[in-house]
Amino acid sequence: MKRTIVLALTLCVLLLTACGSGETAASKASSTNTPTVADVLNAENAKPEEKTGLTADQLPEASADDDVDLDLTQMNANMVYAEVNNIMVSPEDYVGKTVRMGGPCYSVYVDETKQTYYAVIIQDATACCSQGLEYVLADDSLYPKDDTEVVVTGTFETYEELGALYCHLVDATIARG
Amino acid sequence: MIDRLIYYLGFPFVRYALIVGVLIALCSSLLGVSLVLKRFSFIGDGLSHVAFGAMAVASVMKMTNEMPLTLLITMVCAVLLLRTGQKAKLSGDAAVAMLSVGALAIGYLLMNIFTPGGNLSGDVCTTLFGSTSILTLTKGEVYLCIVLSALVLAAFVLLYNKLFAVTFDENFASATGVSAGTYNMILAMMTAVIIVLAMNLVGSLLISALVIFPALSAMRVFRSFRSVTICSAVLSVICALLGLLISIVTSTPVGSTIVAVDLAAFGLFALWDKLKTGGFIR
Repeated sequence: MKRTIVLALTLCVLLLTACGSGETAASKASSTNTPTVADVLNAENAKPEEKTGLTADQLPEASADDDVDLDLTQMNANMVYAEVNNIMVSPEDYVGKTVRMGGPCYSVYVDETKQTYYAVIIQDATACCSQGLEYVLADDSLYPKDDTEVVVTGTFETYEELGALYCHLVDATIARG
Repeated sequence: MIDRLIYYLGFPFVRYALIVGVLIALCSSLLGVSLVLKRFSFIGDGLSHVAFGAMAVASVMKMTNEMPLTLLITMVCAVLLLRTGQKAKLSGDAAVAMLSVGALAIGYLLMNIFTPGGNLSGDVCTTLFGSTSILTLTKGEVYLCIVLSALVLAAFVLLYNKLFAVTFDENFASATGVSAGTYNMILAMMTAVIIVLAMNLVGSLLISALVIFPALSAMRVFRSFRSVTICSAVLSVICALLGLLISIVTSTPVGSTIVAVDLAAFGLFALWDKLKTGGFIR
């Protein structure tokens, strides 16, 4: 339970961390309202139906697709962390590129937008720093359960919400990791 | 493994890391010889903790570029430490220890109270151990590092003779008309600059290793100031490059890997010295 709270809290922080040029994602986070543990718990309790999803067995098998501009699954932890940081710092360089990423997925419901957001969490080699990248699946029925290892491939896009710039992969496909 | 390395070298941030890593290693090793000989080995550690505290203050103040303030505070503390050491009201090592733990505690306290980012433990870990921050440098930070390193290198080369004199015998240097205080001050400022830069490479807890290990290793084999300095510089650059490449390919933490390579090199040089003094090598 404690682990779930910590992971949910991390995800909230990551999702509220906007991306933008000239400033790192971490420093941008300072200007947003970081949710408390109570906020996260309330959100979790308020939307229990959002926490359902497919298990790893129910997800399709990963297929070999060479039409990917940036394949994060082919890099080691340090490189993935650095590349994701690069994406957060200079998102404009990646818009329109097809990105593939892998890792545990998590979801969080945000009251302000009344939406559930899904992201893949990427940890660095020292396991002290993690970053997440949001994704929007082309097929709504395929969202997995939290903590499922997945591989997500989608087109990188930025969008503005609540006055901040965010990044996500759209029109994404998902497979078991 | 070679294919993977070549693939990774195609990423700009990897090339930035290699350039900055080599420059920092080179500058820190050059200063390291003087610092070790003057018995200021621990000043690097103290100043790096000051830099951590200064970075925390800059974060709390929500500054987009933390380096100028960090650099300024670290340089001021370097000068203060040096002056305190000379006047000896508070002994040198006590002043370093006090400033070191004080800055570390205040830095962490400020970060905790004002929580500059959502991931406090991540921020602290990155600052203390470098983590992968050398791989997340922006082009601007790389240019700044190149300029500052060039300044430190130029100062070292131009003032080599004076620094040599001040390093070995301050009293003699003063008697021959060299202003020991001024050159000590310059040495302290150069150390502060390198420490602030090196925080990106190995983090503030491991900076001392970058300063002292190459110098200590070189001193095991060579005896003259010039040969020790040259050997220290070459060894430091090789260790930093090797550590960085190992870390990039095997995904280990950058700072710790570089320090581990430095430690292994020290072991090899110590063994070489033992064999030499034991008469096994001529």
